[in-house]
Amino acid sequence: MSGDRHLRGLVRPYVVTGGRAHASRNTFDAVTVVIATREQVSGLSPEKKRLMELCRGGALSVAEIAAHLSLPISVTKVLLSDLVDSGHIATHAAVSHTARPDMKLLKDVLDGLRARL
Amino acid sequence: MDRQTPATAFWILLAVVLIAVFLLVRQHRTTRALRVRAERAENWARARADEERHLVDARLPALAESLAHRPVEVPGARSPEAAESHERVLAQFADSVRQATERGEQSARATLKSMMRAVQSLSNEQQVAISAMQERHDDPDVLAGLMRIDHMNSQLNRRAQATAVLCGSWPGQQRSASPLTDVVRGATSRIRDYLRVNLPAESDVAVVSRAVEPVVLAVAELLDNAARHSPPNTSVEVNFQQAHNGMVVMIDDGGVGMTVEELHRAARLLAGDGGSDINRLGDPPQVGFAVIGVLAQRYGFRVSVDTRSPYGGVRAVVFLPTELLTRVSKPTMPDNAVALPPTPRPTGAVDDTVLGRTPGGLPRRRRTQPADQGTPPAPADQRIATGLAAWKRGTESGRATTPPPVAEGNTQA
Amino acid sequence: MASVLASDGLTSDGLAADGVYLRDTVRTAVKLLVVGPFAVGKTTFVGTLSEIRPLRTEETMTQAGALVDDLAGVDGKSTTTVALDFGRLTLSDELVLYLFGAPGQQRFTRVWKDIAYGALGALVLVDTRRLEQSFEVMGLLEELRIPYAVAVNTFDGAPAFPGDELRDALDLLPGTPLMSCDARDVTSSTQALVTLVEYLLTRNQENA
Repeated sequence: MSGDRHLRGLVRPYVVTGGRAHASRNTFDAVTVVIATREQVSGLSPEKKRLMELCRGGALSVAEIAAHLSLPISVTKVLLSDLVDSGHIATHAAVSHTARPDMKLLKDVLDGLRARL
Repeated sequence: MDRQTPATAFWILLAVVLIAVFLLVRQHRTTRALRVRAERAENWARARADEERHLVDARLPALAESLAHRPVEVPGARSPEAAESHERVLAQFADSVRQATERGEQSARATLKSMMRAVQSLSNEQQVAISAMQERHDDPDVLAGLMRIDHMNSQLNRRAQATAVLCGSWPGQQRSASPLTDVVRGATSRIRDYLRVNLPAESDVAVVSRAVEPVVLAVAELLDNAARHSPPNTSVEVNFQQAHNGMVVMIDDGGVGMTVEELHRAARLLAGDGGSDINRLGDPPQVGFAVIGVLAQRYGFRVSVDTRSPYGGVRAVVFLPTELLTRVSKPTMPDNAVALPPTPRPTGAVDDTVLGRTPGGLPRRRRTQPADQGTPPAPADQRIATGLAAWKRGTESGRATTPPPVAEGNTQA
Repeated sequence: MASVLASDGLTSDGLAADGVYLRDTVRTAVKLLVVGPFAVGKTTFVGTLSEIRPLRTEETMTQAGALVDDLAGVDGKSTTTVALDFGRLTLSDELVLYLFGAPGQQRFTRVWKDIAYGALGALVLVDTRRLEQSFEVMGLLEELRIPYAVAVNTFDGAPAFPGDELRDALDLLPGTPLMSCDARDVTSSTQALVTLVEYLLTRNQENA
């Protein structure tokens, strides 16, 4: 079992976000993919440092970041918004939110799945 | 014969006179001795009466006061020889008062301890529920509310925990070893003005498992003190400093500091002296230093508040010896794939959607509405709203629907 | 334990070696839901297909944990909350598919909204021994107009029913795919998703 689970009970989410529940931007979905855009992490809170350290390796979705850091998705979004504002991370790919997915997208998905069979 | 008679009479008279004189003298002596004795006895009796009055009016009440921890001096006897037995009376009185007080204290402590356990238990359960909701809800407004509740719950829990500590309950081993930074942040979680606390850069030192909760509690009390006794527009500064055989956490506030009297009291309590006596905390009770003192003594760290802060207020210094510290190590991958223990699932709720059974015995449901309507999905918020409304509708219709006869037969079979 | 499993212990090198990160070329992420009642096999299904170790934003806490005295010992019961578990399949250089396993009874929570929003479709896992436990979540999908296919997870000892009877019991539309699937088997699980996406395509073409 990870130590994170205990720490999570120790440092409560309101301390992690500095009392904020609202993200500065509402562009994040659970599968929004983000990448780190800056190396420098000095002055960031421990969670943001961990987040940057995690994202330095490559692109990850919001849900994956939340799970790796053992933070609720909502809290992760607040931190991610701050980091976008400060230029530390950028949105890399977003989920397609069109009301009706286009045929090409569905065909691509189908092809990708069939290729695995 | 006649001549002899006067002589005889004379001698007899003389003898009588002598005897009388002797008797008189003896009588006189006796009387004098008796008078002296009587006087002495009278004096003695007066002294005893005096002393008894002194005992009842002054000494016993003073002793009772002093046994109740009030700063009263018990006066000595006025005439020590008259109060010999009184010392025994006083000793017995003190003894029985002490015993009664101790019994009272013990039972008060036991009662309070078990009450605090109940409060802590509820508060912990509440924290689990809050965490679960924070996990599940993505709406910032809900999160904001949850954070407020979480914050209040953490403060509530701290109070209960502090009281429990004073009643002889130990926070003990509840957490794994944690980085010092998180220990201090954990402490800030539990005070009202947590946003005023400025934390230092991360330290790679960690606190051993058994000391995490006690140190969190002690630091929380110090942070709370610092925040309470400094203007709301000032910050509370926390700093770490490596020491010869341990680590120091410094907490500075920009308040007015403490008086000499307060410092004395603080020093006494922080040394763990008399802290566990719940009858001596005053009204309103000053719990903080007493709790810290008890914890520090039990878990082997030291706390002092006698340094002046460079910001004008108090500098609280927590010294954590090497025995309570460990190093932070870095695993390469967090283990998030935890096995799922089976959770009982409420089954009653789904009955509304079951409409009888198929011939093979499968429960039957009814489509809520055609899935293929070709209309684009409504915005998410509305979708949730219609979901709720439809659930109500579905429940009502589910209840109202009479199951088909075949299905009914099968249910009974 | 001598050392701490630290919170800041995520080293990106270690994670990269484990194939945690997405390809840089990925431009589109899509998601499919895997839904069904507790212990129907969602976690297994996601785990079987996911290229990353299945992650779960789950909280396990010991309720009485914070009450434990030195002397009293640990006697706490634990409460587990499952928010969601999810997996990832990189389908091409540019396309990544996320699978979200979500329990059915969380229908009114915002996380449902969050993960259901923009989902291409859903695979409903059912267990024939407790079919009724999938009804609630199927109703929810219909409310949200998320197209779905139904897969019967083949448990050892679960009675087999004719497809028609299952369709009848589940009140499926004629076009809704119904298949059996072994959540432990990669091919079987992939085939279930293929069937679902084929259905989504057909449905899309019909409605176009």
